[in-house]
Amino acid sequence: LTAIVISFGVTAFALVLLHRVYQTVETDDLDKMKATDT
Amino acid sequence: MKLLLVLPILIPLITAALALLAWRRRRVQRSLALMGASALLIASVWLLASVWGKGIQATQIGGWPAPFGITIVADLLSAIMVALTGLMGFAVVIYSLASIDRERESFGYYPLLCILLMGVCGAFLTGDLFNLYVWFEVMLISSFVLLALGGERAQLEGAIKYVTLNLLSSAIFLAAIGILYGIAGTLNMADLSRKLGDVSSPGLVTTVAMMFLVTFGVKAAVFPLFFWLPASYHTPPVAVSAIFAGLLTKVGVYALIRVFTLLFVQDVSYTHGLILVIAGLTMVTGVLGAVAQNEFRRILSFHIVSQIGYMIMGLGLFTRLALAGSVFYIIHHIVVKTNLFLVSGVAHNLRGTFELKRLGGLYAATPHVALLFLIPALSLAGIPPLSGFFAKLALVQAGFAVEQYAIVAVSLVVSLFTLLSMTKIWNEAFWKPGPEPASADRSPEKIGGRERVLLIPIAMLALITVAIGFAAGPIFELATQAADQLLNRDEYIQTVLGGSR
Repeated sequence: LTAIVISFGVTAFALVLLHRVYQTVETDDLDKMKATDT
Repeated sequence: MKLLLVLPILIPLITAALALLAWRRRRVQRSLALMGASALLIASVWLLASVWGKGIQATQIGGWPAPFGITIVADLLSAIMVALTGLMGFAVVIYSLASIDRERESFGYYPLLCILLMGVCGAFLTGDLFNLYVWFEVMLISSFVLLALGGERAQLEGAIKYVTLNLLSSAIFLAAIGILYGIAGTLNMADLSRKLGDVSSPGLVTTVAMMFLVTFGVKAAVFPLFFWLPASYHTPPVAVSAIFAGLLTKVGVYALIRVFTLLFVQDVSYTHGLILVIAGLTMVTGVLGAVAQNEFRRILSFHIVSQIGYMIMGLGLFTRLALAGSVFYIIHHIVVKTNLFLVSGVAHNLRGTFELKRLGGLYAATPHVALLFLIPALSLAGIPPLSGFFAKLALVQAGFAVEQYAIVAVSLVVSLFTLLSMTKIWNEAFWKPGPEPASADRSPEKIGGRERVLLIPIAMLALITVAIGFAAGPIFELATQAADQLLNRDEYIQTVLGGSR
């Protein structure tokens, strides 16, 4: 049961993060997210 | 229930709760964080003293007897790790007080930091595998938010990579726990330790061991699972980078050591042999990556990977000296790595950039900062009489003792490359003349009043590094005793199952 709750919470966070990333970076293609690489 | 064992979890929890109640008042949050971190430091050192004097301590949550209830158990390794957590928490809180910007502070930076510390301490102190999963998740979720807090583009990109890989590892963790429960009927680590030897299908046990290797390997950043680390560790604010670098990967290493000394010792030649190979590959790929970088924190991030290889090497060799070397290495590395990240923050403050090409002249401008960089940098590379030298010496000696010459040779070559990349940072950031004032992002300033506070934790940690080097004897004695407790599982099992209440 604990695992279900934890997974739910973490998934909710991940979804929000994905949405925010899409807003900021304007792409969902991981290959284009290279701002942190040198 | 023995209170002292639970204090390292309770203190940050209460601090976080109080800080959340003071949501609007940043000043209150800051003093709370400082008090909480000091209390955690004191409690953790007290715990270490207690375990050192009285042996392994255990207690059951809620009075439920083992193996049905959740055990909180502190052997020397756990106590050492908790003490280091307290120390790093304290150093980073002081650094945060002077460096975290207003916006992040108002969005719950301090409660998050405290919850992170709580998760880390919980993971070190638990004696139950599922409870370990819970503490891992607490730690991970707070690290996710800390990483993304502030919403800069680089942070979000780093966060995506970090979150995805860690979620994957959590899923594998759960699956492995499920299978293990199906095989053994219990998740209490001491009980598992007794039962795993008699299981009907030893192949399945080794399979589960490999699953745990993968899941903790992602967390500990070993080859080939470490790619999330250089993609994300250099993006958040410096204090966050520092606490991540010092603690999070070490929780993965701790979990690996715990699981592969207490539980999965049935097939040592396969499991630990594989770990040794992975250690070698990790060391090499980490340092090669570091040599190729040009940004202060990315070099340091790749170094983390490389140094993790050393710690796993001790585990793979699986002798008393090797494990003692690993423990000593962990102690040395946590202090040094956190310190290096904090120094990079000061360099950024002085020059406005982390790019090595645009840094320069810091030795001329602020020689004390240069010294404070030099101490942890040389220690990392393994120059005597600093702490890194003794740690590497122990591991090399342990390798010679079991005639694993290949890994010893690899570790020595990697040491050289580590020294090379540290020299690169030194040359680029400190030694070479600074950029012309007109083209510099920020002209070389004297360190201002608020920024002087930044130097306090750095100086403190540098002093500790020097102290570890000079007091290597007693600390190595501590590490050897911890290794003894790891190898002789009976004391652990006896304390947890035999007479705890």
